[in-house]
Amino acid sequence: MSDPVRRIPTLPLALGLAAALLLSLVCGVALGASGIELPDVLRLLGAGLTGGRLDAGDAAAYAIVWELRLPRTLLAAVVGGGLAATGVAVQALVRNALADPFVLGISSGAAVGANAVLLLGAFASLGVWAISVSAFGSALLAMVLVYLAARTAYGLTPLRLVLTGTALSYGFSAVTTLMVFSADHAEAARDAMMWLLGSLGGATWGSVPIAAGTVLAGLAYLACAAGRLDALAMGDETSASLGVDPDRLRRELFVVTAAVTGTVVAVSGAIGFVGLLMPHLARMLVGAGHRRVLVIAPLAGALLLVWVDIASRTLLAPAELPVGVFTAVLGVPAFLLMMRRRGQAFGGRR
Amino acid sequence: MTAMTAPTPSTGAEELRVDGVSVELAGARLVHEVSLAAAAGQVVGLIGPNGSGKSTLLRCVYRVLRPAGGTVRLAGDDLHALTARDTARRVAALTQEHPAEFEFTVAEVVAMGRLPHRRGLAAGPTAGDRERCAAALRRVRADHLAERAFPSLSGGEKQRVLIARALVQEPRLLVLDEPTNHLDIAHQLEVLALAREAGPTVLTALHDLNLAAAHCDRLYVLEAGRIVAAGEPHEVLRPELLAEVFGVRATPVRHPATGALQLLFDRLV
Repeated sequence: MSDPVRRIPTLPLALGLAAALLLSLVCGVALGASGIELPDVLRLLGAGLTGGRLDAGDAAAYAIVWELRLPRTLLAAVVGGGLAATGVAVQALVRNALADPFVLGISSGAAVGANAVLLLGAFASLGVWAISVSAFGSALLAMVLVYLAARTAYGLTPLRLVLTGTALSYGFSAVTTLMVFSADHAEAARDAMMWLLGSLGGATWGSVPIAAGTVLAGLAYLACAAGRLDALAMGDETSASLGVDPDRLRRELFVVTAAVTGTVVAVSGAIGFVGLLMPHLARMLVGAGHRRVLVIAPLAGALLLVWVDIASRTLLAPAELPVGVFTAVLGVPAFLLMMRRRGQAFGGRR
Repeated sequence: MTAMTAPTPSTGAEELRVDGVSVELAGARLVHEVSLAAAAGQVVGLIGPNGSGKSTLLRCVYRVLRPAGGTVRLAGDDLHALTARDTARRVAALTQEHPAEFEFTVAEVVAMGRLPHRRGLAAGPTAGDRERCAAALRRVRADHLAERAFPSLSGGEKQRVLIARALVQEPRLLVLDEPTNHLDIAHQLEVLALAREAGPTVLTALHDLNLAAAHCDRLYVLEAGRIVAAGEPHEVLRPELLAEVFGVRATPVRHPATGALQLLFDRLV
């Protein structure tokens, strides 16, 4: 611990990650169960982008590339970036590196709202926005519930917060499952799986703009708040003495986290551990300063989820594994390692 | 012993004036109509037994708590009427918080002191900010620590770094909440000497009465949320008061080398 902190310069790392992400997006579109050759994929993409003409024989391949794989891959990047960003926000909010929207039950809460719209037709008057608004509302509600239940007169302890989040997340998952099964739906069990473990199988062009817009807006807000997040991470009193009202900043973070989590969950279900691990990885690479973390974590999250999605639809093709299975396989050991390393900071003498 | 419930007489260059401040937390009144004042450049000490309300009163000055009554004025401005940011440009604080969850480097911790001076929400540190931070770290002799993780520092190193952060905040008033806690004697003396330099005006809670006697221009004694004595150390630290407020028998002596007032503690009352 006494050595100087070794870090990677942020700008080259960010550029490298961005390049890798771009490449991965192409891979995401090129790889798939139906085995379209890469030159064809590139030609079809080019045609889609420039409005070129295609032969009638390309119609099926074009539909796969342009209508299925491209929106799905883009959505994977958006969801991964959004999950990582909300992880950063929640960790600063509760001042603990073991928190994320999934661990705290916010993702499962959002899934309840999204399902209420999809299966029960709630908020039908809101049209295409119904799912997002409902998921946002229930994410916010879940967050407030967890926060209130975990709070003591002496503030929030990490242990109480994570226990409360885990308990409530079981409750929310039960509600989701109940709704899916009672909706008299042919593929109810698979749908329930998709909400509980996350999947990008439902991606369409319709879901990309709302998700991308919300995630980018959330990221823009967080980037503007980076300095204030640093102050908040140092403690409420320090934060106040540096001119940052901790209660007000927390309220803002509540709303932003709920909005991004709600939107992301509405299009992909509750994907775990990305929000937990990416901020941690980013801090290991570039340090704890939020200006840097908020560049690296979303890029790394987007990159991870693009590849996880590729794996989820190619490994057992034509069957699909839920994305959450892969993130859990990566996430659980990493979570345990982090908890062991921070044993004394986690529910111990603090 | 002088009972001090009325405001102290104002001096010419009065900088800080706390006037009739009361603080309530969860229905309990922890501080009762406290008034105190500090002239520009003074180091003013707040002493009193555990739970007497020292930290609570300080929290009103660096604006974590809003008083239930009374005002805190710095150079005439009511601190609680300013924005949080404007207060932070005038008042810096060393709190008793030591979070270890996030491994900020020392340089990053010091740079946070520039936060209230940044233009615009998204603005990052400027070249001027970086120069100020480097200079502040040199001034507290911690420039060699710049790239170390703040949570890995020793207690004395941490306090030096936090003083550097206060320096770059360029405050009119520095508030310290028991800055010498858990430090060895050399670090205690060092932190107080640096605080006096960093000032310009300093308000500090202290547990060690001999440190308070040697380093403060003026002392206020808090007991159960009320000021019960105020004045220069030799006026305040008299055997009767020490027996009544702190419950100890003490003999004041003059330090043979420095001439400062020091206390020899005899026994419990």
